[in-house]
Amino acid sequence: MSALIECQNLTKAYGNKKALNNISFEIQAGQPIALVGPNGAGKSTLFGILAGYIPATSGEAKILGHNVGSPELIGRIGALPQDALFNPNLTIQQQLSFLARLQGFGRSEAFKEAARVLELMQLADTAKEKITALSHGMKKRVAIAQALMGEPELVLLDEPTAGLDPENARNIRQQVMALSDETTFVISSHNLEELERLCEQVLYLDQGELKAQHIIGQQTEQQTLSYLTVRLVVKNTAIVSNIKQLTAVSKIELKQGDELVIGYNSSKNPILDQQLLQLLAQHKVPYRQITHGQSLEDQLFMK
Amino acid sequence: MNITQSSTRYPLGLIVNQELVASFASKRGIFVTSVFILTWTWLLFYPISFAAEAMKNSQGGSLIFAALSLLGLESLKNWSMAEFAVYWVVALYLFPAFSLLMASDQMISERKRGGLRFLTLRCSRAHIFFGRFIGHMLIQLFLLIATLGITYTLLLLNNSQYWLEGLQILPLLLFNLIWATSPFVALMSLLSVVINSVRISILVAIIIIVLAGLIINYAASYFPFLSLLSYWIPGTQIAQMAQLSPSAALSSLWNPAMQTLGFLVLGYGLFKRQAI
Repeated sequence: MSALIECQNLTKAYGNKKALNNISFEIQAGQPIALVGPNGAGKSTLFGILAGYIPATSGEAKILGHNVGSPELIGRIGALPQDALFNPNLTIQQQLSFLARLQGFGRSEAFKEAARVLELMQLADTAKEKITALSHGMKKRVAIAQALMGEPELVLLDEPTAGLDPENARNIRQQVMALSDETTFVISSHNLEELERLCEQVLYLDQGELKAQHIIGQQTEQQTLSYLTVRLVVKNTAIVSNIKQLTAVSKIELKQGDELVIGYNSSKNPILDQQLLQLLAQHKVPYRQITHGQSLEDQLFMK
Repeated sequence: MNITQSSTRYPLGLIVNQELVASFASKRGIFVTSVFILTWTWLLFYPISFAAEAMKNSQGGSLIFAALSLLGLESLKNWSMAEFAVYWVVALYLFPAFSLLMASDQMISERKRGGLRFLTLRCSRAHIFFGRFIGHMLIQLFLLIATLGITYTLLLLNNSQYWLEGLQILPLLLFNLIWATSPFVALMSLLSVVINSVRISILVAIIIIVLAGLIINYAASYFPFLSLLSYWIPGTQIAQMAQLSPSAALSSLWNPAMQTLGFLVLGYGLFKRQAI
């Protein structure tokens, strides 16, 4: 079976500047995939190439075994382009039905499909509105709705929750989770907490280069240590020296006052988590959360 | 709920249809269509009707013929149907001019707001580019048919004995005028790809049509081979067509056909490689 996305030596240059520099990777269908990186890292360029908005300078990008832009991919990929807006003169229903018909739906089926995706995004009441009558968050949800039409196998979401209020952002996360058994989502975002909750894999781009591709929470080849992350209720520096004395603990980092990241050798002490709980109880140190592994932020940026 | 997709897709027809809907729903479309209707209502019921009436009587006719001779259009006096004679000359100049305005925003606004990105995952760029062109050509075709229909009605009201000759000349007029208009629409297709402002695209089109002709004529007086470039200026054959009957004007249509093809090939070649 061919990979869902396959990029080989993909390069995009704007004059002398390389927005993407010879990147190669493969992604299999499955749980959502995070695309992260700082501003200007090349995330939107990669999205643009995969969705066929931007031609690559060199290299090859294939989706479901077909070259990007190939007619075989019509209806099999959905995409939320960053900041794209619908025609202000036509109703949402008119525009979504037209897009559904382009995907191959008949006239009445297209109408139903537009209504279905609007319902998914809790926007059924807006079908007869023009896009100018909607708030920023609603416009974004309409754009996400169009990406879900026809239940595509792959959906590319560029900053899906940027600018949305917490309730709408939560609604979109829930939809992604609900649909992720049938559809593979690739999500670009600066919200690492959100990506950590939603995604299983991460692609980390920086300065146009692919710096990392791994499973979130899984130890990479370079990592010799396992991690436990503890969030305390209140800052407590005294407990750090007690934790250091536990077997196999090799480093502790105190972050943002109330968060401890403990690095240890799990083969020497596989029950460190239980010992840690006992220690915290013994010293009456209240905690909010204990998780195995590092946060996505720490995985990507902690040296 | 999974809704079954039908296996047949007609993306070009859908794009053409959507372009027609979107063109008449936009402020620009409504404005240009309103101006078009007002202009043609005035033209048909005053200048065309008046000139046709004048050409029929000897006193007024000689005045009109003298004016036509001054404009190099004396061949119009050979037309038996005065309404169509005047319509022919007016339409040859007005339709291309209106098409510049009407077809100026084939993709510019949509590309600027990112709307083209909703389409490229669902149809090819060829469908988008040629669908928009065909959509605007259909708009011109509908407008031509409407004005020809009204002119024919005027002819029937004034000279009903020409009903058959009028009916016979209608397809010839339509064929000539649609071809004469096509390079203007194709030029706007090309400019829609390379220019990011509707107003600037109209301005560039006017510069190409008006100034480029003057510059080429001036340069050709020193370097005669440069006169060949004038064949690429839309409307370069219109003055010649206006002096001919519609059947004789058919021999001039190779030039707008060549221009249309050239602009479309260039425009599509650029659009295919463009980041949207």
